[in-house]
Amino acid sequence: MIVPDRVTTMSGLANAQVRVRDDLIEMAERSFAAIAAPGGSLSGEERVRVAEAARGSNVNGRLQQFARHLYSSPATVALEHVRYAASDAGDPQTVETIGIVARLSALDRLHTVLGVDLEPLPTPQPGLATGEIARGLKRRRGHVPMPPGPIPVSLDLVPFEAEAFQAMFGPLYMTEEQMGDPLFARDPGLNTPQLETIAARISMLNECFY
Amino acid sequence: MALVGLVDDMVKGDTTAHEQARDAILEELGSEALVDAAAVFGNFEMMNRVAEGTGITLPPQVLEREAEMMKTLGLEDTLKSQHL
Repeated sequence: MIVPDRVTTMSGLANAQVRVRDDLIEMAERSFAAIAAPGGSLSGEERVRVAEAARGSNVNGRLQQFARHLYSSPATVALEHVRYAASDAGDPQTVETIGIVARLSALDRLHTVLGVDLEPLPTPQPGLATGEIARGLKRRRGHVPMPPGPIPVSLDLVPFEAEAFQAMFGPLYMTEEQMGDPLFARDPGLNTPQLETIAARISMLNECFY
Repeated sequence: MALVGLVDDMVKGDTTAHEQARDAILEELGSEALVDAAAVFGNFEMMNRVAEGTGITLPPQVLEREAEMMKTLGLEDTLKSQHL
């Protein structure tokens, strides 16, 4: 039998039937807040609209259709879908959308696995997009402009979204330092082979080669 | 294995099976393990979408290093699609 041992705070995760790590709750609260804040190329209102579309509400417009597609069926997303969204909205808005949808997918999955209701989307913060976009990046062999390097740099075109994305690795998975230690284990919790088993299984089911 | 079962049942959307898988993890591995499983599951839902959305490819040196293993696993078509 699972005994509740946590009282309500701002995050629904605190209502889970098991105790959720404080770093995870803090990460979730920060990540949700970042969805509602003005980004590099989308306002807070536009960003929340993207998140709503990802969850299946108000799916109108190319960017919203792309958000829904990426959220619900990532394996079928191809270059043509990304270019279709970008032809209307531009590369920065498309990259920002990828980041919002990907982060929301992580947060929603965290909730559903723990048996917690999905967090309501936050109220948009006022203000226009900041216009902070990285310059000089090339498309290379990907669908969007990005610097060379592994997946953590792939959203660097929009620094605000890239930072929000990178801030989630440690609490959800491992920090860079922990990844370098093959004997890393959360104690109590899962060890590296167990974490990698889940990572491999979900990536296989999502048909993600990367 | 309970961890693999949890992922499979969640992706299938089978609520009853999901609850059983969750209970199995709690019984076999403990509540902290369930939290870690939920977190890493979420992390790779995120990474998979970033990878598919941005179209990022593995660095050529990684593909070359792992080419033999990928052939063993029958992934020749994937290798070809990565221009190797």
